[in-house]
Amino acid sequence: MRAFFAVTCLLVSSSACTGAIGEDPDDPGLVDVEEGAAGSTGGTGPTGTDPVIPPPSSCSATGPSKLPAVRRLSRPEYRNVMADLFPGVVLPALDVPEDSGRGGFENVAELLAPTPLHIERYEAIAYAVSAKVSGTEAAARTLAGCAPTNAAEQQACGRKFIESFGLRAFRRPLSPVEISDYVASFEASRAAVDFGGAIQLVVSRFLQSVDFLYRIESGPRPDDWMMAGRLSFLIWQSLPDAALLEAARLGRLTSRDGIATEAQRMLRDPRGRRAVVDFHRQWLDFDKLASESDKDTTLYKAWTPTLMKAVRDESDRFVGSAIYEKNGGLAKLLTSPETLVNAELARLYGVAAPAGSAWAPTTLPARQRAGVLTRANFLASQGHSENGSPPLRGIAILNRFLCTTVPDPPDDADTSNPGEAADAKTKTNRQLFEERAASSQCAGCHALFNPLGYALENFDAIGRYRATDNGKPVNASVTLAVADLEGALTGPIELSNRLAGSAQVAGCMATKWFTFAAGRDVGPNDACAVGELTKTVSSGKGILDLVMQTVVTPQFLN
Amino acid sequence: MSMSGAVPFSRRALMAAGASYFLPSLVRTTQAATPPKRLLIFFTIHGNPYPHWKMRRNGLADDTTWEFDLKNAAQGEFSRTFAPLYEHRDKLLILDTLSNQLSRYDAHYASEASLLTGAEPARDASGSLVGSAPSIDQIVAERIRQPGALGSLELGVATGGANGTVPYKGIWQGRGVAMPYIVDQAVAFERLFGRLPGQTGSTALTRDQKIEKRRRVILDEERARYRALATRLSGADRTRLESHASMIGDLSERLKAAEGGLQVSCGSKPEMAAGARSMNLKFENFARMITAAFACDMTRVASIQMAQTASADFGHASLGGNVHGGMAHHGNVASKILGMSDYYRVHAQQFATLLSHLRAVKEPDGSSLLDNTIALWVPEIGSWVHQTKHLPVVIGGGAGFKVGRYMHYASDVPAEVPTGSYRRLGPSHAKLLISIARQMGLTDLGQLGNIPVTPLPGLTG
Repeated sequence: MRAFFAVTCLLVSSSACTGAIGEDPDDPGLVDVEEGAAGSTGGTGPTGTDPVIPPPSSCSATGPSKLPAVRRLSRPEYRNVMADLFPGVVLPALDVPEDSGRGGFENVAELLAPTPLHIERYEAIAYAVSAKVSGTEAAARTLAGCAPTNAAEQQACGRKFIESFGLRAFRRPLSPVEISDYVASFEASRAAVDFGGAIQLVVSRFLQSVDFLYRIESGPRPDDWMMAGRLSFLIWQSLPDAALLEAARLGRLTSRDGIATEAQRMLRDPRGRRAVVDFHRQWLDFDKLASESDKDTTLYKAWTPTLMKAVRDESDRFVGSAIYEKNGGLAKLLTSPETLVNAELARLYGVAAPAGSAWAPTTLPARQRAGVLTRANFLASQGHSENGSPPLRGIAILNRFLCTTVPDPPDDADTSNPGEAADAKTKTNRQLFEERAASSQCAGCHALFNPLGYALENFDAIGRYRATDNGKPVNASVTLAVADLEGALTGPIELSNRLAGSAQVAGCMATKWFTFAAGRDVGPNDACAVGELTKTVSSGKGILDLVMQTVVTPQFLN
Repeated sequence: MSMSGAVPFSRRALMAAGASYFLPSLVRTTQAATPPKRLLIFFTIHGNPYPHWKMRRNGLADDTTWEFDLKNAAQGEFSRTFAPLYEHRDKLLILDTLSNQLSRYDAHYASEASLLTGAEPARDASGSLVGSAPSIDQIVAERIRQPGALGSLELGVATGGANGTVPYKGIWQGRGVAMPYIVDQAVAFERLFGRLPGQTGSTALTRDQKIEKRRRVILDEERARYRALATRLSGADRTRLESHASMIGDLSERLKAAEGGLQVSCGSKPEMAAGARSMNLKFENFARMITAAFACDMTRVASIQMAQTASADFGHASLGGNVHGGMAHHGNVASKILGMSDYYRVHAQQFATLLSHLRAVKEPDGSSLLDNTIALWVPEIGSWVHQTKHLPVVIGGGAGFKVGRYMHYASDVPAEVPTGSYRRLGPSHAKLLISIARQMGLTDLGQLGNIPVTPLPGLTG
């Protein structure tokens, strides 16, 4: 909604189009917990063989390439951690504010700053959750796993609970000083309220602690507990499970092989879906649809709120099934026609509809659809209410798949909708945009990205396939002039294949993944590691292999 | 606002559609001899056609600096856009010709990053434009914050139900970090009024009250752990945890004030409007909450950021969709320009509502809350699509600014990036931000981000 009509003239020479363009901002408002695949703990694990443990990295560790030492939990991490800490409990709304983020990524350590609203929500949620899990004497006893009959037993039970719950909440054993501190607090609460109240209050205290809300590492190298946290937040976006904590206690997370073996085990767990889906959501801006949902209802009667939701949900389901479950990689992401649909979405894609409200696997028409760029979410998110926007679609491909940015258009650019020109009804969408970008002032940058969008002109503003536009045949033949994509091609399938075979796209995906995995931008000392990740992507390996390769980088191991 | 006694607050009633509900009797946490000054920012999006909002009197040229009195203006002298503000003409300062010279190209992102910061937007590593410094409200809030009160209150009126999105960021905590804001009226209500003590009259504490008392102790205990850890760190990590500890301290102070509270009752008890969850309803209730919070000194700084509006909401369904899709990129089509003008009229009406609420509250010294508030309405971008000249800026109340005036500044500043008709501009809006900060008591402030800025002349008369 906020994106300009990106058909504007760009005040640059045709030969030098460099710079950057603002990306869609993140919504910092409070929203309810999303349902669905991204946040779900359920589902199935990968169906193929385990990814192999890669050979030792040839990159050497250097100081400045360390991972951030202090990271507040991002909003998705916070929600996952809460869910995993209290499995099976229907928790109160975990409505913490969104974080500022960068380049679509919501877990950039340096931007995870505290704000008063965060602190208040953490406090309110800690209290609400603690009341939910231990608000009555009976619930408190169940949570603490004891039934004390006198003060001494209450005291002993409290201490035991502090040690066991603290281990999970802090992702490490509490120090003797910390145990004393929490026991003293527990005893004061017990004196002021009662045993159940003291359990509730100590839970509430843990959930606001610096060791709970932040991931903190210190020392020259990560110890076993820190390594457990690195693994669990990388692979599950959440806290370690009992087995991982046990591996840490036994000192098994000191060696490269021990760490990689745990990573293999963890990737088999359905929780691995979270990080894979969420990485793609953030990288490819699946949520942009919400702010571009305004479509002309006279042209698009099918565009209902339920269809929009299905279009959005398909993205998570596609990534979950084709990429996570089947260990797919970049090629599958860009070229696979497999997906899941419900009845409403099936009609949009022109495939057989599943019964009722069910979602079912399907294969989209092979001559019309390939991977993620040919899906309704991407197409509808990069468009206006009456028609798709070739420049917006092209710029999104540049930004997300080629890691390339372009400068902003000048203030006096004509930003009116070309679809409303007097003769618009006699022309195709492509013709209108070609005319707008034709001047020498505009053509330089638009030559980089408009053709990427023209190759997707077979899709209208909501992502339906079309062979004609305004009664004229769609022209989706283009000559690309960007990066290593140069040359002629026709239509969405060829475009998707061209991108899937591009070395620059592989490098871009590796860069995006590293940024997400590290919680910081790629620095000069990361070039070797990112190079190894790029090889993993370009060799056709899957996302799980990319995770394994990440685990053995010096950045992760040191 | 009525002055009657306490009415129990029910969150369930708040949530129930169609129900009406009341605030509890509120607590003024401090009692000042002179009422404190407050700052309220109303941030709207898109541009407003200049011919439809500007106001003129005969003989006043477009290229010179002049002003005229609004107090004795006739309704007919108010422009189409600003007509709903007529009733507050004696409390208005309308500023014509200010420009955001920091915005340069992409107006949306650059404006968000610079409009309230007055600082050069920054490019982050991903190429996005972000705020490079705190916005003026945050600078002011940091300096005038009261113990036991909120430093500032950020609200957003979103599209798409209670938890819809406002994809705009005008309020910045610091470089790259936008302040989050609340879009859910129940969450806002809970934040402001949910923790006030019940007035039971009984001396024995219930179990819940005992737990509630311990909640604050626990905050203090955890704050100590944040501080202890911070001392073992350095640089930005240390600052972050110290900042977190300090915010926990602020929350603890607020709870303490609410717990022991009731020094002076300010007696406010606004009834929340009920009905369908429209933008106007949310706005109305946010306006009432801010008014109550200001009246009872629960905060001195607040902001409301507005999202997109559906065209059908203000009589332009035929233009389709929302403001951006339907009319903002008007291409000089008259019906669309008129639509934009009417869209801004909706905001003018909302701003008038805000001023009415503030005006209705009497301070202990007999002045009105509005008199002691700088209510600033400032739009994301200027008068035409993606341009940032001719920002329509309206100040209500003034807190010492000389109000009841329409001020026009000459466009005599060369544009830093001259393009097309965009060669000479009015004064930088950053000057206004400095003037506001000084009026709020920050008399030493002379720089925003890295840019030295002088105040805008003529505002105090």
